[in-house]
Amino acid sequence: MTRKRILTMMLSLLMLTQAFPALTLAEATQAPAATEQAAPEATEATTEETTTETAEKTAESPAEAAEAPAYDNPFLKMEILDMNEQPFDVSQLAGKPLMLNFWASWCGPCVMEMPDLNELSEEYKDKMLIVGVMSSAANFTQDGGIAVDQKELEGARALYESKGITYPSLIPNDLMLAIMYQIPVQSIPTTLFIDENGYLIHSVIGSRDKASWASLMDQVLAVIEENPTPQPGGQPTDNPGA
Amino acid sequence: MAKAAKQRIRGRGLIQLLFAALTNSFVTGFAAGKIYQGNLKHLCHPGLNCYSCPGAVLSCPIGALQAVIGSRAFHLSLYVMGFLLLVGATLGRFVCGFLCPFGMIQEWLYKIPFPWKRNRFRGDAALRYVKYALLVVLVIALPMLLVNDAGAGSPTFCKYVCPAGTLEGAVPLVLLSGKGPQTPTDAALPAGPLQPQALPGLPAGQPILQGTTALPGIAAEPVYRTGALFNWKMTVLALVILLSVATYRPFCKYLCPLGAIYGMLNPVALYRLRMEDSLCIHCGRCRKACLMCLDPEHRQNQAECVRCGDCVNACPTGALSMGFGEKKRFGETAGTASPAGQGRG
Repeated sequence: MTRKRILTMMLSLLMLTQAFPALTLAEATQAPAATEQAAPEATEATTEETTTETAEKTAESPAEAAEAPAYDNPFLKMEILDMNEQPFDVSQLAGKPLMLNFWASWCGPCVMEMPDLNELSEEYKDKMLIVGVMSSAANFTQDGGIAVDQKELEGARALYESKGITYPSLIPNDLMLAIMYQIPVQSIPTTLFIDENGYLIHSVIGSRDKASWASLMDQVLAVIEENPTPQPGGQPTDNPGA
Repeated sequence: MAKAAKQRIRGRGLIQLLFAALTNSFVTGFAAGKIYQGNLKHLCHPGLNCYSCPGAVLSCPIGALQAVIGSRAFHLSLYVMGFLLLVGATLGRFVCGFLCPFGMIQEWLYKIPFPWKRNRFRGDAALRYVKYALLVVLVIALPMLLVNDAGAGSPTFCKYVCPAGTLEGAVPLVLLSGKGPQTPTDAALPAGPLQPQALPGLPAGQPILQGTTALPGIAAEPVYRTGALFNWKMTVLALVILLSVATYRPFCKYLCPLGAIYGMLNPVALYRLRMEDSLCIHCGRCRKACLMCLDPEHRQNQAECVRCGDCVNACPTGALSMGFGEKKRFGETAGTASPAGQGRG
């Protein structure tokens, strides 16, 4: 072998060997790659489990139809923290439809629309409440607890301060995380419109300008007016107003 | 007298197709208009394969690099860098030639008959440096430096340039958006170790949200609405597609930051192009065959070589070969050695 070939082989092996320390160091410090997609990774449910669950539910429902638990507005009963990790008073949400905006500090479109949402929250404050949910600020841990991402909170607070945002943004609790898994909230911003009885009326993905939001909010308010849902404590229904 | 054993690179197209199919095998994504977000996405695809392709099972290394560089929490992605070093030092641009789906698509486009196919033109050599500029500016610098108030940067290459992302991610998602996750379901929560068994305020087993989006009075909209940025990205994609018909792999030559990275490791990678000087008859067929406009007779492991193997197949004497490491020196044999090949060290 020529000297050049030996050196080439050695150099490539040197590069190769640098790769492994980097890989293992990354693993040791648990540095996952963040992405523009929504934060929670859906744990893959096995088909057997979901089929069994559905079968159980169907078996129970005819017998329990008369005693089926009434649907209650979960948003008025939840415990949730705001971005300063203080308890958020959920009684503020009573009596008005809710516009839940899932966002994150690293999401360009989310941050772009925040000033418009801020203005709309003022203009519509008697008709609809705008509340943000910092979708990557918390996630489930392996043992079913919830871990809060302090870096994301810092970023969110910095954004709020620099842009003068006043509508509240909340750290996901288990209800919010469950909603994110169920919909699922895959891309952000995702915005859910929920009426005053806790029924989901509409969901949209993506940011939009102020006029577009206002038009959509007006449509949702009109639909809510025309399709009243049962008060909390009534029977659950699949299609309100149908 | 022993004849030189000529290597033939066969089946490259099949390997490309199979690897593309394997790494984009999440068919549920296409059926449901969504993206796979499970644990396999912790791994990177060696080539340029968009994370947002509905079928993609692995993450794009360039996307991952920008995401970490632009994040508030981390800046240096040891994991992605380690992965790129590992793949680059082992395979170099073998990835480009055999494993990259977008390279495969450009090759298919090049097969389309067109009267003005040109690979050699003035400015071609200078344009090859643009991909290094894209790597430094759009993949590394801008995500790191152009941050919002929260300290988060944007993945500027993905956002403003990448035609692979447009073709593999944006276009399918927009087309499939009628099936997208815009309709809430009242199915039970998916089971799994991370799900709480009962939620506060709700009887166990109760659906989280009641309701439906199928209410009259709200104007129907596509789930993914497109605007000026999408139009720009489609323009870039259209240009790359048109150029791919006229010239071989224009994105790989001029724009691909991943090719830039692997190219820098090509000279030292374990998988290499080897030249047996004693067998070379200086016929120049390798030069003619090379669609990346290289000269395999004189330089074998440049940054621009995508390891397509066309030169190896074109070589009449078997002087050129591709493989891991350096080939054993072939003994000089009468009748096959070139006049100038005798006694060269």
